[in-house]
Amino acid sequence: MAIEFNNQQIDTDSQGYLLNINDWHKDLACIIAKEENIELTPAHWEVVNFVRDFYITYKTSPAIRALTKALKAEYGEEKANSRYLYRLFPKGPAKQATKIAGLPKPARCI
Amino acid sequence: MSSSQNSATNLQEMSPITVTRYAIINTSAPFDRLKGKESLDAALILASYEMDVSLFFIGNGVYQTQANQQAESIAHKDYLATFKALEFYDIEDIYLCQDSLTERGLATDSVFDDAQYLSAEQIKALLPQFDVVLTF
Amino acid sequence: MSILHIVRSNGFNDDRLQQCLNLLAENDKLLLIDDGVYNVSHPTCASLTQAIFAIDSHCQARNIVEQGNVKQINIEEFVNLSEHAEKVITWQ
Repeated sequence: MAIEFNNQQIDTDSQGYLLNINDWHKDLACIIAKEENIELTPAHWEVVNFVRDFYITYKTSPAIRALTKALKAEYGEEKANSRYLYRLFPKGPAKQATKIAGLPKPARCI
Repeated sequence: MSSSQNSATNLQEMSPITVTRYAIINTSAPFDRLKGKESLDAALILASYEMDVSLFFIGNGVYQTQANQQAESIAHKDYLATFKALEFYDIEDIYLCQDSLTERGLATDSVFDDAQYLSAEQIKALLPQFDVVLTF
Repeated sequence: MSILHIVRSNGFNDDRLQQCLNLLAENDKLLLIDDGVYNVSHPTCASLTQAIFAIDSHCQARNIVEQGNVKQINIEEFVNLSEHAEKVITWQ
């Protein structure tokens, strides 16, 4: 599958995750988010940028538990609870935030 | 655990969530087939399901724990970078075999801040406390 | 309270046998399967005091004859052995 962006075809897997993380661009993130019925607010961007940095540092997409724990270390309790994250990403914070951030789907996603 | 004498123990036995203690033993060098990567995936999956996971590095497995390795220079995924994220998965018990490090001329050092360095004898003594032991 | 250790590769080929022996406790048992049955004549196995087993068909396939301290067992006995072990560690 592919997404049309800037007159280019960006390759994705069958579920819409980018195949190459270097194809990512913040405008492309908005297109992917729209497909997920998400309007990106600064609160969304905070999480999207966070998971992208996480991947670049640790070479793995965080599953939900690791995501909340890492967010807690960075931003404190209020932004690291799953209720807050599910409000932003109703279909699963780890799945949707990594997709919008142009990362592979977390292999251990629950 | 087999004979319960009070209600607290009974409650524990009835609890639907049983935490199994896993020991994952790494015996392979970083690029020896896909052993190291498979081992790490297993550890992260088990930890995501809230299992108790301890990691051991023995034999050539100790090579996985050494700093400044650049997997990408041989077009390999740098899965060793994920070791630094283990704390977010609550994997905190990491044991390295001191004998294996010494045999290979390596210092008592690794990418882990809180690893424990044990002799083969000490590792042997730890194994009975685990429910499942996997080797990679 | 004993662990059944399974070795399935030749100790002259890689160090799985050695890794296993390093962590083999006094009451543990050692089972040799596949190419691991070649280890019946490996020098490090000859001096072991622990119980050692090898799968008979895997031995026959390689013409490995009964050795002093190694008992050849069939698959059914193998299942029995693993059922009675506290846990099984496969060195692979």
